[in-house]
Amino acid sequence: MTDEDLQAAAQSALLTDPGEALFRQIHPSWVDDGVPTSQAFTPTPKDEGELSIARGSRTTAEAAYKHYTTIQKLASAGTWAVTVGEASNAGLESFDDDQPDVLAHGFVDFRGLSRKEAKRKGVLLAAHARARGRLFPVEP
Amino acid sequence: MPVEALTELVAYQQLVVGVAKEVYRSSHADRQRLPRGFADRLQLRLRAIEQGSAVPVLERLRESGALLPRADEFTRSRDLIEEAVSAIAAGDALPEDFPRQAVVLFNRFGQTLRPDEAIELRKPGARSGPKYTRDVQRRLVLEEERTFQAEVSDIGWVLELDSTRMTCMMRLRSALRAQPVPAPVDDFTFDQVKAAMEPNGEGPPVHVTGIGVYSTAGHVLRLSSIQEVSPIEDPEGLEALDSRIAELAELKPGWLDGAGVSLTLEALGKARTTLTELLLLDVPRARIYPTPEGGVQAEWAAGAYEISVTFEPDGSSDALAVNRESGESRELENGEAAGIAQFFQLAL
Repeated sequence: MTDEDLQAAAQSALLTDPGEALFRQIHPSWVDDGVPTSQAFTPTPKDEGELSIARGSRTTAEAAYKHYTTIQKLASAGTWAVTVGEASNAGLESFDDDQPDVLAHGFVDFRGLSRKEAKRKGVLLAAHARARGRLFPVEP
Repeated sequence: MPVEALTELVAYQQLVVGVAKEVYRSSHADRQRLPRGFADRLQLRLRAIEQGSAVPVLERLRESGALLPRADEFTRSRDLIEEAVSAIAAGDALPEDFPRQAVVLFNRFGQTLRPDEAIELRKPGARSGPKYTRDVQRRLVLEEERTFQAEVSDIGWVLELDSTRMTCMMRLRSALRAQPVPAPVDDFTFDQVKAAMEPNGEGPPVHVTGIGVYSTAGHVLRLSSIQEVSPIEDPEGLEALDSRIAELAELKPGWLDGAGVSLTLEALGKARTTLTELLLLDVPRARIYPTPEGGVQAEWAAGAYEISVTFEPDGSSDALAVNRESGESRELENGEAAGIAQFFQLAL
């Protein structure tokens, strides 16, 4: 491991509570008829294998949405969530990853996976998130 | 072997005869006409269908009282056809000695081929031979012609019907700039076409199958025949599909919070065509999304499976089905409609 890796590892703590929610903000173009795409649960190339989430033990679906859209000024159709346990069942570990300007930041670890394998796991996460439905704004 | 494949055997025989006629003419420049009964010298019989992929074995029959010639215009014709298919499949030009006048006959051969199907032409005793696909057919015909013919399965609207000339005008979804295209009608299709016009000259969208004449760019210019015109079960699904595709076509570079490129016409076109075909195959409407790379992704939940088809920016496509409970997955390299529909049958 390089010094940078060690430093990163020290900052990132493995999440172990299987019931902890991992909030995900989803771009409006990635929601069709109220249903989010599995791509929203798979890292894009710029994410370098780390799927950003906001930790449910440190924030709420509403606060995560408001921070993302008003402080970070990014577009979101709402907050969806998977749990640490669901990610684990898909073979994915989740980490805390405190960052100064991002609320309760963490990530689901897709590093080292092939594109196809990452896609397959993203589909599994998305299925859980869809079944749970949008958490904020609450569906009328 | 599907029954439609038998029409390909008939078309192949016509192709062999057509090329053989040109071979004869080029080697008998002094003769104005072909010998009497020339075409009848080629009698093919379906001897067997071998196991594995459907392998029909064609046997040439001897004329009564005659020995089967070792080499004549027909065996030369067979070889020329194989050489032509082989050259075009390899990306080469049509061989010099292939008679140009006979190229048009390839229009009839391969009309029932689906995009992922091929006819392999094997000589007696050979274990392999050149593969004739829809793409090879198109490129072969376009070596000499400005149009080519292939099967059409599209959504259309009937605009006019001329009962005297037995023709109609149709607007096809895939037609160039939505220009109406002419099509012949016959006693069988007349009532179907008439019903599709009601009530006001442009009725609801219908599913049209037949043979289309395509431009070099792949646009339907006219129909040379209509096989069937039938009502669409889910016109609202079609409208929703068109509306979503139009919405995605408007995405500007940077649409994904600064990342994401505009979607390519290839991806949008392929998605529109394939998802329309799927609607016609009674597959439910997909959720449709852009990909950051400029492609389109369609997704469905079907039984215990999550199915997704990605239309890449270059127009290629692949499909993935993931079982939500077991995590097991299946892939389909070629995301053509027929294969995806089979995916659904397996999933449900």
